[in-house]
Amino acid sequence: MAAKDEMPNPLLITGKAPDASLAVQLHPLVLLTISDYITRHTLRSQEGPIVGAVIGQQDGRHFTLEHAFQCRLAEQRGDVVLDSEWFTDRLEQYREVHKAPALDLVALFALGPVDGPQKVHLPVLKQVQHLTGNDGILLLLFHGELMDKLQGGKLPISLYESVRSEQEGGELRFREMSFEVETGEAEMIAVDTVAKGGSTAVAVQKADTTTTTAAASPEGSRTAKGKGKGKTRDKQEEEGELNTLSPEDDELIASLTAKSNAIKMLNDRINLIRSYLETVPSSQLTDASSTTPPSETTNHPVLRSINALLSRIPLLSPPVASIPTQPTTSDSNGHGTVHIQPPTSQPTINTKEALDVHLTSLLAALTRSVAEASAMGSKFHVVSRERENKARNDNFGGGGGGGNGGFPGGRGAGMMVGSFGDGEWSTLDASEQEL
Amino acid sequence: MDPQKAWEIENAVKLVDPTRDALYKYDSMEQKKITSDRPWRADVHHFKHVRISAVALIKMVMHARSGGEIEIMGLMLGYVEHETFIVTDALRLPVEGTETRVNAQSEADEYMVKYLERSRQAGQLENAVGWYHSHPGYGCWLSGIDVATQSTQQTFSDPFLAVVIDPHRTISAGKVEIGAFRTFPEGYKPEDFGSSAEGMAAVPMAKAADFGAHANRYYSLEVSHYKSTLDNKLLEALWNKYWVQTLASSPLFTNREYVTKQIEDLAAKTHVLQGNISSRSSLPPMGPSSRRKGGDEQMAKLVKAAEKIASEEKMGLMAAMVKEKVFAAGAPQVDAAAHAVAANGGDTQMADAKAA
Repeated sequence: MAAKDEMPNPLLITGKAPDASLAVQLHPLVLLTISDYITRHTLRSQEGPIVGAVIGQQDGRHFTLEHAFQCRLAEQRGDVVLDSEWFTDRLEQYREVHKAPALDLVALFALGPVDGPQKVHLPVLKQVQHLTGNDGILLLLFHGELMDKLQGGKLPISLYESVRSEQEGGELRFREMSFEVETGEAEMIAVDTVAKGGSTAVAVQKADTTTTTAAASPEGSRTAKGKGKGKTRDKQEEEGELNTLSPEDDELIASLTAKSNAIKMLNDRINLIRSYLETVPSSQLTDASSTTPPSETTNHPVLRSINALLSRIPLLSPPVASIPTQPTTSDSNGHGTVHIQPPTSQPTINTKEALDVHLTSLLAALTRSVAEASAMGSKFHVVSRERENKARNDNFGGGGGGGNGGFPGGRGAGMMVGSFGDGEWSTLDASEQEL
Repeated sequence: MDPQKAWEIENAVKLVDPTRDALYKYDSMEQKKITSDRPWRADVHHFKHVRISAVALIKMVMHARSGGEIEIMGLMLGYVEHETFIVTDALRLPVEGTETRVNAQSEADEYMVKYLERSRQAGQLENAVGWYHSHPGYGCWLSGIDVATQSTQQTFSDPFLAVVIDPHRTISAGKVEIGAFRTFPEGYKPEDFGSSAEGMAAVPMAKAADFGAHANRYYSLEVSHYKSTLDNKLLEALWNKYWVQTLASSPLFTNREYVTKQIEDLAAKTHVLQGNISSRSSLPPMGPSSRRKGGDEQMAKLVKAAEKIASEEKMGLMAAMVKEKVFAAGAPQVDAAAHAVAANGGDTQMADAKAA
């Protein structure tokens, strides 16, 4: 993010950071904690500014911002500062439960205007830097005013590092830092779950999931209820008709929707690059035979990073069909960060994987068929027994043998499940391990 | 700029929609009243729903995941409203669980008391309304020890709730595996036996005895989650940042070990069932279906488990196929275009971008 230069802020140092190796990874939980705090603070009409701490890992110039918590504030000579005893204690509590990997204070968060840190932010930051003996504590500002005009994946926050300028008597000043959003696997799933259950749709979705779970509750519980509970069974079946999708189907649909959204997004980004390139005025850059020098407004860094991105593509996509690695720009401005996935790209593995999956589906289908056959067998047994009894009552032990004949059939089917299923599952098992 | 404005208090107010974010309010008077009325004493099934805030859910899932094979434990803050637990926040407890059980210790109690005191001083007035722990890889249900713990909590600090998260299944299924439970008082016999056992088709062999022994001691509550309007906007913006991972992840690859374990377990169960059936079929056919029924039920569970594995695998395969179609199908063209770039320098940038 570039510094906003239309409104000069005396506390802000504009321009590039001298050391570009600085990397900050922000986790969504921090953002949501801040948002949670803001909402709670407001609805409970609590007083005072919103300030909190962010903990994470720091390794040289690499930061991760992973967790956040709100802070109790105090006033000191008219300045807002933290309640230092409270804060030390609280931080210790957080350290105690985040030992692997060990997290420590890396930043403070507060609300602030878009043009950067204000004088009011100074005392509290100085205090914390003093308390922790760490001059590298960052400042994260949440810009409430940006909330309604968020575009292109920009988050309403900025991150600043503090710099003690030597000439001006040790005054603290700030330099804006860029950051990227990073999510752990579990975090992503959790965030995704939260994001999907849209707040307007909460009620509907709740009803929906209950019906599906009820409809697809395991056959086991249904059979267990037996004949005495015919009513509940009918009800469940009714619901089943209303909503024919099993939870598995729902999951599948959800995961495909997520995929299609992601592809749309990728497409948007590519189109953005394309349309940007199309608007570049013709010059030497677009046509080698032309002698027109590129116009002064040409943004060379962007063009260069687009070029760099394109030249990496062939490295990442192997010539034959395979699970590809995936290049993409993470920033529309062309700060081309390329996400590369470790290559798993052997076509043979791919086919093997596919075969494995198909085998699993087949086995699942087989298991179901055999179970159904067995159920059929036992039902037939019941019927034939009834018939047998009836016949016996009618003519005292007449044709009993015929009725019994059906029974071993049922047994046989049951056994097949065991032997067949077992063997196949083990085979698959072996093939999985082989991979 | 004057101080009040610099802290942006007014802006914060604008971000909140009082009606839609009503769950974020807290009325300590009302809570006191509810706590003294104890409506849950009259009906063992009083509480039916749990609503978990976005932050609490994410914290719990991350904590569960961070434990790996070890069970972790923490507390939930919140309040109750009618028949619903509202969980507003979660905190970790410094308890080292073993791989199969987790139990609060006095050290954790001390931590908890101190933590809650500090929270209150900072304006989080909620009380603890429950505890959560993880069952890595064996599904969401309460073990014997869990039942005992929860039962004690319900006796001494009701309203209290037990939440179980399975981080392994969360990762493999791509959705949060979570269950919320309350125990019945000592001696209470639920009418509908096995109600809490629904969806428990996949309890592993090693745990099945423990699961079966206590399954009628508790019931499960319906879990949903909520988020604020501000969360909603932020999540929208965030989605733009993390969609890449949706495309980049390859579940077939990352879950291989887990799936193999699942299949192993299923194979073992199938084997047991086979043994049961063959030993039974060697007996002369006698009695109606009473013994038969157990076998059918087991078989249905196996079917369920098999289908679950198959559908998860299918999803993984589809992810791989989508990736292949999107990124590898055009690989030759991309390759050609890239060579053109290499040959002609930067001239063909535009054409190349189109090809890509």
